[in-house]
Amino acid sequence: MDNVRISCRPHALYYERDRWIKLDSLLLKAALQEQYGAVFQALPPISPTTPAEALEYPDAVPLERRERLGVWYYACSWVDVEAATLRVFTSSYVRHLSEELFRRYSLNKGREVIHTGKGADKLVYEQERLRLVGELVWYAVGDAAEIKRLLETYYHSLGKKESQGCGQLAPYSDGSLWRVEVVDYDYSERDADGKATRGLPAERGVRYPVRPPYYVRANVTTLELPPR
Amino acid sequence: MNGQTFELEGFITLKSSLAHGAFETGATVVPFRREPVLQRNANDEIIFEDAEALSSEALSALRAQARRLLAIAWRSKSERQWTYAQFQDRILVYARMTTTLAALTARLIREMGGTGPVYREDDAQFLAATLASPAAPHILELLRDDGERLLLVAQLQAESQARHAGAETEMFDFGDIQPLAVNTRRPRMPLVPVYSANALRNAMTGRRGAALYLLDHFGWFVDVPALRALLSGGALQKVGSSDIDLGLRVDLLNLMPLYGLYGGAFNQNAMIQGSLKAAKAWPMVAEAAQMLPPYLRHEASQLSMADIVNVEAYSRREDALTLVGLYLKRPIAIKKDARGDDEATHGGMVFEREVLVAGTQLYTSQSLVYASQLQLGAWVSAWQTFARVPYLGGASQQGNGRANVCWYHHSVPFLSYVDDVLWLSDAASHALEAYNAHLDAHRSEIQELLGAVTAREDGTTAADLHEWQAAMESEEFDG
Repeated sequence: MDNVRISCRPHALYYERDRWIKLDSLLLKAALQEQYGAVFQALPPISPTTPAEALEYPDAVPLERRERLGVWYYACSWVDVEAATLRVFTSSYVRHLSEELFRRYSLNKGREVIHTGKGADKLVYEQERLRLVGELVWYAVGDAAEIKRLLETYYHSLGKKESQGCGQLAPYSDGSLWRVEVVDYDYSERDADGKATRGLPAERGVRYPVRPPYYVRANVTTLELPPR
Repeated sequence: MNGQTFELEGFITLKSSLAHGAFETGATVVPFRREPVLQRNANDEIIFEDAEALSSEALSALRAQARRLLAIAWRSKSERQWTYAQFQDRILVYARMTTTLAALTARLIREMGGTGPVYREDDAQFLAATLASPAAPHILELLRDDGERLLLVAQLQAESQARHAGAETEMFDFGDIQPLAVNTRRPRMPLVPVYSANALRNAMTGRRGAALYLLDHFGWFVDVPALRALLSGGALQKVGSSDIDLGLRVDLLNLMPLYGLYGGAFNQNAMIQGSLKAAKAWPMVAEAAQMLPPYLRHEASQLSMADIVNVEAYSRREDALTLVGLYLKRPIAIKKDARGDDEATHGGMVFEREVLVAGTQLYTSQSLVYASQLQLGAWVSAWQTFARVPYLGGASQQGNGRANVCWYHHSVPFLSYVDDVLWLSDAASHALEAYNAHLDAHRSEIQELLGAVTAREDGTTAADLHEWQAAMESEEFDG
């Protein structure tokens, strides 16, 4: 296992739901995708109420597992996306009904009325807040080569609406989208000043998930969170 | 397909100008979609604006110069009723498009529609000195900044109102206003035009194209929910239980490769993520170089985004001009400034649209993660539809959006649409053949799933519509 520094440069990142982006979450999803292949799309979805015993943590996740106070977690820091944001800008998109295509391909039964003011065919003009970030940096303990391979294979963009180009990773000057470097220090839990770089199990603290999937209630425990 | 991801790089060369509106309501000029891009040097370090070096006194002096320059442009307007909002709109667009203050000033004066610059007192000398001074680039930067531009035009408007109210009106000291931006380091992030991945992935070059290919393949008609599912991924449905029918999902994924490729809810109570990840299409210009792979950056650095953006103007002439006395029940007044009066109409209007000029090259990429051969076939099928309706972006009725598109897989040509000819590599052809064979083999199951029919209640078939459409198109071309 290596001490690793991992970085990337997403453009127009759509990330609102949380303050931190967790890399162990991305690596777990990539490992599961690799394990199941094309069947991955047909797996039962995981919801906030999925029980702990239904969650899978394959050994292929290339991160060290650590344990504290009887709770295990991956040795991987969280990145503070608010702190990394240089500017927020808005972008918009529309979803509109193509009347021409509906006329051409629909059954044309009598006087068919399509409601564009509400419901499924509502005309949508959506504005989204996107972030410009300089660089996102994580620290982890794990297999550097495998981390690099999984990230380069599965993540060309980050955050929400990534399949539509949001959070597209800008290439570094060597052409890679992810930079994974072996370093001497281990900041996966605490930085040089001793501040927490991820949620760490503690006797007193905040109730927050400790490992991916981070939206599952079964993963919630008492943590010392990184300072804001 | 080998490996976990099938990566494609796309090069788009525009054959006619490309319009891709940003939906800014009330804008005089419909702007092209843009996004700020962080600029970096060769060492990957962020480049910061020089404006940080300006003292507050220097900034006040620059603002005064910018205000006077704008006043000259404003006085040069035609007799038409211009609003300050429209003026600001124009500055916004042209400041993005021009590289020098002189070019911006000349363009502004020209577009204001007057007979040329209108000078008062020593305006001409002021203009000559300002445009040649080292401060000119800083003034241009001020006019490019949203907050500064708003401030300058507001000041201009306030001065004008004060003059009309009487010279005695006390003016606010604008020099006291200092934006925070001056005191902090600001990364350079110009607004770069970009063609959205949403359009590439979901319009005729993507989901919509693949959906029409499927319907046309069998000559089917479907009801509205099924059509919605095909064209936009479908709506999430509320059902009594939150249980997800995994069996149905597996059937859907097996039967409909385009569902797995583009994702969506397909009128179920849960969504799936498609295997296709699309990137935005970035123009190959210096300002977008950071978003391009390194091997294209040198070529991109040769061109500025100001070189590839243009504003096209169209006029709409009021038909009533030719109809007066012929078909109207009674004559109506034609006024230049008619507003909301049913009995009067104005002579016409000019509208403008920001476009990328013909010849511009854009770069994009797409990745198919764990996509099957059939999903790749569905992707290719979309381009078959695109070849029939080969337009990108908007305003295709005015000839915008013609383009050559070439896709490469690891530098090997995979699919192209060049000079109105669709070319498929062997790999693309095999994928499409496999997809066609799949559709033919599962025709009845897919038909049942979509509730599709081959004829409407009135007996109309797809062949009838094709004949009708072909006849209409030939008539149009002959004319």
